[in-house]
Amino acid sequence: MSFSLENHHHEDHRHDGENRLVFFGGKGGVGKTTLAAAFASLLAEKGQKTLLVSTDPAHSTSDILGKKLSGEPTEIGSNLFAVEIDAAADASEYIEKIKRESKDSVSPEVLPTVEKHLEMSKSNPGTEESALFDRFVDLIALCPGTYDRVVFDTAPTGHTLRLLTLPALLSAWVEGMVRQREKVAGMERMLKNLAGRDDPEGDPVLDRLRERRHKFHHARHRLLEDTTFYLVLIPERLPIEETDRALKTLTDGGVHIGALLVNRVLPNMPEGDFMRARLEQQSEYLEEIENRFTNHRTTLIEQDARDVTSRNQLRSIAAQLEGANLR
Amino acid sequence: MRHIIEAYQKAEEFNREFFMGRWRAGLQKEAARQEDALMAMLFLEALGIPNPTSYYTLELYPEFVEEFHQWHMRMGMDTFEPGFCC
Repeated sequence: MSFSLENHHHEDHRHDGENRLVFFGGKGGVGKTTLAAAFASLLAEKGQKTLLVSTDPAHSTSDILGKKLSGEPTEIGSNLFAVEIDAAADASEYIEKIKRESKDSVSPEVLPTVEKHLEMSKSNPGTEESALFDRFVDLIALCPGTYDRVVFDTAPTGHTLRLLTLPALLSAWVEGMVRQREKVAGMERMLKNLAGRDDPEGDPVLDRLRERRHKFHHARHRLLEDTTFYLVLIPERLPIEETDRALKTLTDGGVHIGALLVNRVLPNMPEGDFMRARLEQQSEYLEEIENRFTNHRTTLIEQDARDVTSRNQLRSIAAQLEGANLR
Repeated sequence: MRHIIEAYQKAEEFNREFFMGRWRAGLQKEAARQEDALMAMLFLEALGIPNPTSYYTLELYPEFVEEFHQWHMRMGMDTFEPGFCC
């Protein structure tokens, strides 16, 4: 996967100050949500009005903050707000609004078909991603202004890279549409002038296309000039490899990398104490799993002291699965 | 003198009708062609071609649906993508 937010590579970043948009990204399960929430809390404590945004469709920010969040920003504490983007709800609201507008602008003969088509668009393959991106762009525009800083807790890497590539891609598409519409409008104006008619009313299509263009341009600009990306990983084989790939893609795209955050590093304390505390917590959780998922069989797979990187280790895990009689 | 002016006015009118009329017809045709191109860009998805902007152009769909109907008839398709306009 390769992309560029800009047409030509620009020289090294001049990010001396702090960027207002901060992203936490990385492989699934490395602790992005935890670190993003911690960082947002830190900014808020320092007196910056901060919005924490979860873009991962499988949200867990609510769980970590211990407060039910929604698709609209909720106040969590002093200077701290959080939102879990609800792409399905956003798409539905957008399409319902178009439906209402259709009632005024569309003839009764086609209206039923139009409504049916709009309803069906809600479940188009790209709809949720587009709605997510739409909200993403709107939230970026709230800072500075409503918020001093916005912290994005993103979905696993591939999804996030896509989110960052979209402004450039969509800008180019909409740019083409704006030009085409301008061409058509220019010709129509000429024809009207020939016929001696004046054309005082504006062009709502062109207005909307230009508004879209403006939003995408703005997002693209902010992602290049006002963004810091923190890559989260844990000291294990697969996250290291994924971080390497993501780093290359992000720097190629002109995104400023703040730091690599290596999470879940074992602390330097007497091993016995640490292990005892971990084991204690583990047995609490194992008990909870038994009690909460009573309708399902559970199978425990023991962790290898070494990372799983060889076929032999996979075989030993496979043996545990076989013992559990999985089919 | 009056005859000369009238003759000139007639000639000019003829000139306008003849040349401008042809130019206008050409312009009209070109405008329709460009409008078709725009329509295709906006609603590629309905033609079965994936388009990353289709969600965002959906808000223009009510504005265009009648024209779209005319358009596919002009393109020689009597029905189009059941559910889009007819």
